[in-house]
Amino acid sequence: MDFTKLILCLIILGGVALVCFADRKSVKNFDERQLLYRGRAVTIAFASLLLCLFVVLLLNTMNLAWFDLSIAVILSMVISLTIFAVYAILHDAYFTRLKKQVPFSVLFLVVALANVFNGIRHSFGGSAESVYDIVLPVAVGVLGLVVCATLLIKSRIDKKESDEE
Amino acid sequence: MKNLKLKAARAGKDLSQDQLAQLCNVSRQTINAIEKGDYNPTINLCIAICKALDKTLDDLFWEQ
Repeated sequence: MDFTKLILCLIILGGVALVCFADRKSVKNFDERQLLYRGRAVTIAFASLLLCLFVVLLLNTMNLAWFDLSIAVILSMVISLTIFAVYAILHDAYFTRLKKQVPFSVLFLVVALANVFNGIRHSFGGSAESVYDIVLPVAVGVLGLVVCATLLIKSRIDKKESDEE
Repeated sequence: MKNLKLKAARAGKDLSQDQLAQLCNVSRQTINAIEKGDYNPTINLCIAICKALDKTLDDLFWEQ
């Protein structure tokens, strides 16, 4: 038995339990408009995931795929996550109403840059054991950078709104 | 359609959007969206806003 994978499974299971528990607890943290827009964001993200998977499978069926199928599926998930994050941020439904955006944008920037750097290091250093070692960090890094940029744009819009108030 | 009555009532109480949002347990952006007419609040939120501003539903949300 591979204990590393078992521990990973337990961590994922714990994460799911935490999300379910936190979600029930945090309902009051999001107001009604935020919940509405989060619902819409989930719907749009799910639709985009299905669309991406359709394109991937279509290309694969027609033997036009230039990518590994599993990587394409992971990239589809990252794209749909990005769409969810951007839509929710632009409609002020990403963070609970008490959380401030700026500290999180710094956190996202650090995590994103670390991931991109990791991907580049694997790519140019030749230390990648598989293409996953390059694609995954870069995809997560790009997701983080997009989220960070959207947060900064949104915080500027918010500041402008507050000034005009 | 913009809710100018809400904006006027809030200004009359000398409250910022952020302060009114805290009184109603919602985000500032939600109050801003209601004032701009981008979001139709539920009756519960309408009542919370009315209580915070000492107004009636008719005063703030009934179109003449």
